[in-house]
Amino acid sequence: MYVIMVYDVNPKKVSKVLKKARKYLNWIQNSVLEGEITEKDFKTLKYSVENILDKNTDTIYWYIIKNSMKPRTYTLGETKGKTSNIIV
Amino acid sequence: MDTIYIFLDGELKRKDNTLYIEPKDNNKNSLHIPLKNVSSLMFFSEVTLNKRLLHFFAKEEIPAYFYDYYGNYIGAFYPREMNKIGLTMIKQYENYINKEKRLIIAKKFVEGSSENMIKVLENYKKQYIELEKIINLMKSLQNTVDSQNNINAVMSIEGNIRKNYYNGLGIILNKNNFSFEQRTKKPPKDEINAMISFGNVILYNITLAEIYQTSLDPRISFLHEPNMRKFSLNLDISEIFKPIIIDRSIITLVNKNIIKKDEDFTPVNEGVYLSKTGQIKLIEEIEKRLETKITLYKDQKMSYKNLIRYECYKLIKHLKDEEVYKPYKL
Repeated sequence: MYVIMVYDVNPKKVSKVLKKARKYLNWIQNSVLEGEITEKDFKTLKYSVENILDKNTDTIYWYIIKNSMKPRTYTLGETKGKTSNIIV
Repeated sequence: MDTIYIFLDGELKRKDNTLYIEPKDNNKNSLHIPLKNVSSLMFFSEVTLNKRLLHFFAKEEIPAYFYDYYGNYIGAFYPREMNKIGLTMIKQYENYINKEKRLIIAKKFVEGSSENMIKVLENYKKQYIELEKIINLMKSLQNTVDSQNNINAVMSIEGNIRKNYYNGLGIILNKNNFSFEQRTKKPPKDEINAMISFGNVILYNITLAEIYQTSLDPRISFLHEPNMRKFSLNLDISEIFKPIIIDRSIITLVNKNIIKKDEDFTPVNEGVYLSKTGQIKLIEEIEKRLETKITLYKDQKMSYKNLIRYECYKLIKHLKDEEVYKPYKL
């Protein structure tokens, strides 16, 4: 499945969440990651960030596209993260 | 599963369980690449790496392929094999040793590849009338494959079909300053040959990465003779996909005038290679094609890349006498 992850957490925890998420997903820009992921890996990712999270103040959104179709994306302006699998 | 192509010079590290690239060029940002959904890595640039990183590749079960400046394949880091099952291996040896069984599989590969070559040419039949004759010749050669009783004869017919096919490609590709007469290697003599060589090597390695994920042993092949040092099963399976993936990509690049003769190639003595920009253009086109989804059965869609893996599973089923192998035909 294809997943877009958006998070809004306490500044002290940002790097912790990022470290965990980067293992599975591509970093796109601040607080946004996306990529193809297996159901099993997604579960592991969810558990590993759950432990860091303070559920009263922090939030993480996952947008899930089940049938592995990559969403059509457009970018305006400077791209920060990598979007293609050819790295120049 | 993605294939990652790296054209960026720099230092590679394992960091937070991702592949971390620190570019040589200070103006470029460093990158973290997750390897969970990657099937193989291809390195074209100057990179430094250490054993810790190789350990990480092995842990994630990802083969890494290295190419020289001109895009020639140097070698690979092929991690310890995890998925190999004794049973498949024995069946594979058995089907190789037994001449009749081996001949059956070899013929299937030729059947699939020749059929796909014919289909590629047939698309252009209306545009170029000369192709009609070549296609008929290929079809009559294809019909003689079944009655052969040894591998060498099958191989020579395959070579003959391929020679005619390249004649046909020459007719299609004779435009925008490009011309193509016959296949030349080491070094490729003209631009089209350079693209075919480069594309084929990429496809061989993508196929090898797919075989790695299955229980097949890449060293035992059926159509090609197993070599002492090289992997050869990937050559067998790639035969089926070469016309559909590589040759069609090249036709598109030339037809749409995307690849330019004066910009995207570097001459060397007695030959010509793709330049960095040319390599990237060809890879982009190949990747686009590999990601293309086709309908296999009524409601099952599959990308060409998954189809390569599926081809391996079909072969395993054949080896185990469960289902007769049918090569993928367009």
